Amino acid sequence: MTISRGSRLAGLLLPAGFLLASACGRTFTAADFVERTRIVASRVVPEADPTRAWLLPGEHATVELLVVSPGVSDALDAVLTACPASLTDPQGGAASPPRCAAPDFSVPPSSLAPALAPRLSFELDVPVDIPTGLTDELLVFVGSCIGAGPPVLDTRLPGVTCPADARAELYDVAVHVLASALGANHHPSLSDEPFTLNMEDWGEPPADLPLENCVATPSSPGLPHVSASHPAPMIELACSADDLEMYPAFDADRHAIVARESLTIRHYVTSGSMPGTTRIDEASELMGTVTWTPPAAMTLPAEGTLVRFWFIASDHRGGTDWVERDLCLTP
Amino acid sequence: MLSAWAATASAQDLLAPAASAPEAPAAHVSRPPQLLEFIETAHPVGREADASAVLLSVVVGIDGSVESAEVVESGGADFDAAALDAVRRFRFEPATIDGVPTRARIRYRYVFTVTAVPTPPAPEAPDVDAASEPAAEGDAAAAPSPEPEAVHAELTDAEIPTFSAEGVVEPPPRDAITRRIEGDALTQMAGTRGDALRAVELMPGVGRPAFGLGVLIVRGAAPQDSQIMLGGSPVPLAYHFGGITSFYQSRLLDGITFMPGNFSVRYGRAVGGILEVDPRDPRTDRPHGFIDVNVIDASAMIEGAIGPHLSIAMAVRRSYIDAILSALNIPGLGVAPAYYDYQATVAWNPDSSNRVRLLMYGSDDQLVTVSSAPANATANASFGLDNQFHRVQLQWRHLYGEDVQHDISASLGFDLNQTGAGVQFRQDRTQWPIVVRSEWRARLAEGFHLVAGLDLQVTPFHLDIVTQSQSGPTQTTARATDLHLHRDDPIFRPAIYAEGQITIAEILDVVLGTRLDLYTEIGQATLSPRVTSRLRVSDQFSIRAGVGLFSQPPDIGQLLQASASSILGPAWAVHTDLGIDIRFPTEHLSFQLDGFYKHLIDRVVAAGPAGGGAFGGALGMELASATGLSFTGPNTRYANTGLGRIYGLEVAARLEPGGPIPLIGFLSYTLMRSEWLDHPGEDWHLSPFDQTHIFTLALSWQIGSGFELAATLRLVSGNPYTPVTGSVADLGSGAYQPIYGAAYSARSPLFNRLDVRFQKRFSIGDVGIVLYIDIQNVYNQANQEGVSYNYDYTQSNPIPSLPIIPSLGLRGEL
Repeated sequence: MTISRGSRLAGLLLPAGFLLASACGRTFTAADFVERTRIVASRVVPEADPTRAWLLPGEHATVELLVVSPGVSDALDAVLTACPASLTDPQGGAASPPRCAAPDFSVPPSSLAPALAPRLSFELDVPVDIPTGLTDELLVFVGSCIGAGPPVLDTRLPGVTCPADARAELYDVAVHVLASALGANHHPSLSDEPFTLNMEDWGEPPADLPLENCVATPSSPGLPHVSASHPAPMIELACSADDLEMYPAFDADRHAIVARESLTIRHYVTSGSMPGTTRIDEASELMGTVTWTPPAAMTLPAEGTLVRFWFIASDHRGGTDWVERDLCLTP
Repeated sequence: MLSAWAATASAQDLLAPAASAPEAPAAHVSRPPQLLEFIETAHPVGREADASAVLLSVVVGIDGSVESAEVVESGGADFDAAALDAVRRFRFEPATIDGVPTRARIRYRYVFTVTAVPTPPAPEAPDVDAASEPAAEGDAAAAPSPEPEAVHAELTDAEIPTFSAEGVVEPPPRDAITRRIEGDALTQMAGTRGDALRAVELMPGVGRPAFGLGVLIVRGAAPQDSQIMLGGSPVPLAYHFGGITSFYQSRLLDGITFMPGNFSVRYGRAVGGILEVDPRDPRTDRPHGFIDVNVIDASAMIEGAIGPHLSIAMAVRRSYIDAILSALNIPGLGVAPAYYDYQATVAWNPDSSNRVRLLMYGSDDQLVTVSSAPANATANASFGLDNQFHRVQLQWRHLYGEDVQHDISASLGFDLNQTGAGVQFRQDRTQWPIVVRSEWRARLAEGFHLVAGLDLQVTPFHLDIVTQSQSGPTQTTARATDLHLHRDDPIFRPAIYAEGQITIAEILDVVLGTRLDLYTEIGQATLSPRVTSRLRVSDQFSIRAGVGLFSQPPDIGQLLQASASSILGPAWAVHTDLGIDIRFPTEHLSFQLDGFYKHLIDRVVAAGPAGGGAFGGALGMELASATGLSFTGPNTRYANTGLGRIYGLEVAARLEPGGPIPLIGFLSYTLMRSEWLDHPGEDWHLSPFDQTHIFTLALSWQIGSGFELAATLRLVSGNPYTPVTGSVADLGSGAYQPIYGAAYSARSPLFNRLDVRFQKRFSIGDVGIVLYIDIQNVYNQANQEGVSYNYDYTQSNPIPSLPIIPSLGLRGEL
C-alpha cells in the first residue's frame, strides 16, 4: 500500500490547533455513499479460464464493470482503451495518475441503457506482442459520459471529454499479464459465500426490485425488512480458504517468502453509512463483520425505502468479485 | 589599531534620570552630564559579526571625568571589557542641579550592533530636560523621571542621581545583510508567545509558514534550504511539534541574528539563509531566576555567579497538554503531544585572554497515549512519534596578544527520530552529530585582517524507513510500493574557509572570502567565493553590496531515493544583494532598503506533479522541515534537474529601545517573486514559497506602571497551490487519484491576522510577577492554508488557518 502524503500527515498534524482547524469546513459526501450512477469496480474474465485474474498474450477476455446507482441507472456511454503500463509515471512520482508506456489500443465502445441492474462490459483481445513478466501490466482506461455520449478518451493527459450536458468520468485499472497461466492469480468468489444480516441468511436480491413501497413486498432472504428504530444491523460475510491463494513475495526486508492473500471488502450503500473497508484473512478466521448505520427513522417514509448494498472483494493482486444485497428499510 | 575595524561610533543622548532617582521638589532643575568626548572602540576581536550591548553604571565626577564604571548587564566578557575600557576614557560636562555641578550616575548602554549603518561620534549630546524625558532603560522607562534632589559635589554614591545614555558601535560587514533582534524585542512582541525565535518572522524577507509552523522561509527559499544554528552548531529542529514553542529558553538568549542571504563564508551547506541563535552568559550581578506557567507548559530558570570567574544558568520546560487532554478524555483521541527541553550554561572567564563556555541543551517531542482504550484495539491506526536531540557544546576563545584570536567550538550530540503509522510506515533515525569549528583571526596590517577557519561535521547515523502494504508482504506487481530503505554509514562534511577584510580610506569595507566544502556522501567538493562591501557615504547613510556562491548537499532521504538514472549532486545558488542603510540615532530610528536576486542551480527536485494534494507543495515541505520527517511517497525519485530565480525588494524600519517615545517596533515589507523550473523543457512556475507581499507591523508600547501592550499585524499574499482539474478512479482499489492543473497556478486569498499581547508587571523588591495574555488572531480571521477535496475531487473546502488562540500566563522573576 502506498502511504499517501495525506494519510501519513494525518498522524503527524501535531499541534492540537492544527487538528481542530483542519476539522472545520463543509462536510463531504462519503465515498461509499451511492448518490449517482458510477462505476466502482472491474474485473477481467479470460475466455479460456473465467476464474483467472491475469491475462495471457493473444487471448480474448471480457472486462466487466460494476455500475452502481441509487435506483435505475442513468444512460451511460463508455469507451475502453488499454496500453502497456509504465511501472511508474515517466518522472517517477508515486502520486501521479498511471501512464502508458507504449501506444494504446482501443476496443469497441459500449453503452448502457437505464436499468436497475446494469451490466457493462467490453470485449478485449490482448495483443500477442505485449510485454509479459512479473512486473508487467496492462493499463485499462475507461472513459464514460453519463447522460449523453460519446466520450472522447485521451490516455496521455489522461482525460475524458463529454458533451456539455453530460458528466465525464475517468477510470483505470491495471491488469497483470503473464506469459503462461502457471502461477497466475485467480479471482476470489463472493457470490458462493454466505452473507448474514442480523444472523439471518441474506441472499441475492429478487429480479424485480421494488423501488417504491418496498414494505408491500414480503420480507424474504433476498429482501429482508429492517427497522431503523432497532439497533444497527450487523452484517457478516465470509470467504473460503481457497479464496486466499498462496503466492511468492518479498517481506519488508526484501527476503523471498511465500505469502497468503488477504481480502479487502469495499462496500457501497444507497442510504445510511458504512465507511471504511473490511479485511478478511487467516487471522480473522475467514470472516468479516460490517456495521451499517441506517438513517434516522424519522426521515424515512412509512412505505419503506429500498436500500442497496454492493460488496466488492479484492485480493490486491487483480482478483476481484462483487455481490449486491438489498433490504427494505422501514421507520 | 583595533578600533579601525569599527565604523564610527556614537554616544547618543544622555537622557533623563532613571526612575530610580530620588524624588525631588519641583523647584529644582537638573541637567544630566553632557558627553564631550566619546571614545569609540571596536568589536572585540573575532566578534565582529556579533552584536551585543553592555549596560554600565558610570559615575561622572564634578570635573566631568569618569570616576567609576561597572557592568550592570553583561554583554559577554569581551564586550564588557571593551565597553569599560572606552567608557572610562569618556569626558563629560558635569551634571548640574540648579546650576551647581554635581556628581551623577548615568546608566550607559554601549551597543555593539551588526546593522550596517555607521553612526558618527556625537561629541555633545543635546540637553535634555530631566523632568520631561523618559529614561532609556527598559523596565525603568515606565514614566517620566522625577528630578533629582538638589545635591552637590559632596554627595555620597548612594545619593547621586542616575541618568541613562546609549552608545552604538558598528561591526565590519562580514555578511552583506544582517538583521538582529535582541533585548526586550525578543520576548515582548505580540503573537510570538514570548518566543524569541518567533520574532524572526517580523523581519523582511521572512515568509509566513502555514499554521504557524516554526520553519524559516527565507526570501522565497524552501525551509530545508536555510539553517538554524546555535552558537555556530546546527540544530535539527527549532520548535516543539513544528511550532508550539522553540526548543531553547528565550530568556537565556542574547539575541538572534538573521542573515537572509549573502552570508559569510563562516557558514555553508545552505542556499537559503541563516538564523544564528546566540545564547548569553549567565548574569553575575546577583542570582536571577523565574518560573513561568501558562496553559501549555511550565518553565523555570535560575542563574548567577558561583565564583569570581564562574557563572551558571539552568532552565527546564515541560508541557502538560497531554495531561489536560487525558483528563478531558476526548473520544477518538488516542495520542497527544508532550515535550520537554532543558538548557544549562556554564561560563568561565578566568582572565581577559580566555573565555570558556559550556552549553548543554536538549529537546524531546513525543506523542503519548491519552486514551484508555487497549493498545491493540487501535494498533493498525495508531501513530507514534519520538523526536529528540541533545547537545553538549564547549566553546573556548583565546587571545594571543591584541592582534590574534582563536575560537574553537566542539559539540557532540544525539538525535533520535522514531515515527510509526500502524504497521504501514516506520521511520527510525538515530545520529550522533559531531561539529567542530575552529577559527583564527589576525590583523596582518592596518586595515587588513585575515580570518581562516575549519568547519567540520561528522554524523554517524542509522536510518531505517519501512513502508508495508496493508494486505501483507510486497507483491510482485508493478504497483507494489513496499519499501525498506536502510543506511548507517557516517556522513563526513569537512569545510575550510578564509576571509580577508580590507578597510580603504575609512569609508569602504570590502570582505573577500571563499569556502571549500567536501560532501563525502556524494563524493563532491564545492568552492564558494563570496564578496561583500560597504560604502559609508555619510554618517547616517551607507550602501551595501554583496555577491556570492553557495552550495548545499542533498539530504539523506533524497540520496536514498535518487533517480536511478542520476547521481545526486549539491544544489547551488548565486546570491546578489544591494542595499542602503539610513539611521536617525537621535530618534532611535533606522531604515534599510534591500534589493536581491538569487539564482538556484541544480536544485534537487522530486519527480511527479508539483505541489499536489491538500498537503502538497509548501505545506508538505514546511511540515517536513518542522518535524524532521520525510513526507514524500516511497516511490518518489529525486534528481538535480531544477532551477530557480528569486528576486525582490525589502524595506525595514525599526524603532529601537531608548528613543524619545516608549515604543519599540518593526515595520517590514517585502515585495518578491520566487519561481522554479523543475525539469528541462518544462515551463517556469511559481514556487510554493512565493509570497508576493509580506507586510508586518509590530509595536510594543511600554505604557507605564508595569503595563505593556504589543500588537502585530501581518498581511501576506496567500500561498500558491496546484489546482486539481479532474480525477481518475482506480477500479482496483476504489480510490481516486487527482489530475493536476498547471503547477502553482492558483493562490489562496490574502492572509491577514492581528495578534495582541498585554502584560502587567508587579514588583515586590527584587521579585517581579508578570501576568500576561498573548492572543493570536484576535478577530478570528479564517485564513486559507490549503484546499481539501472530497473522495473524487469534485468538491473542495478551504483548509482554515489557526483560529483565535489566547494564551494566558504567569511568570515570577527574581
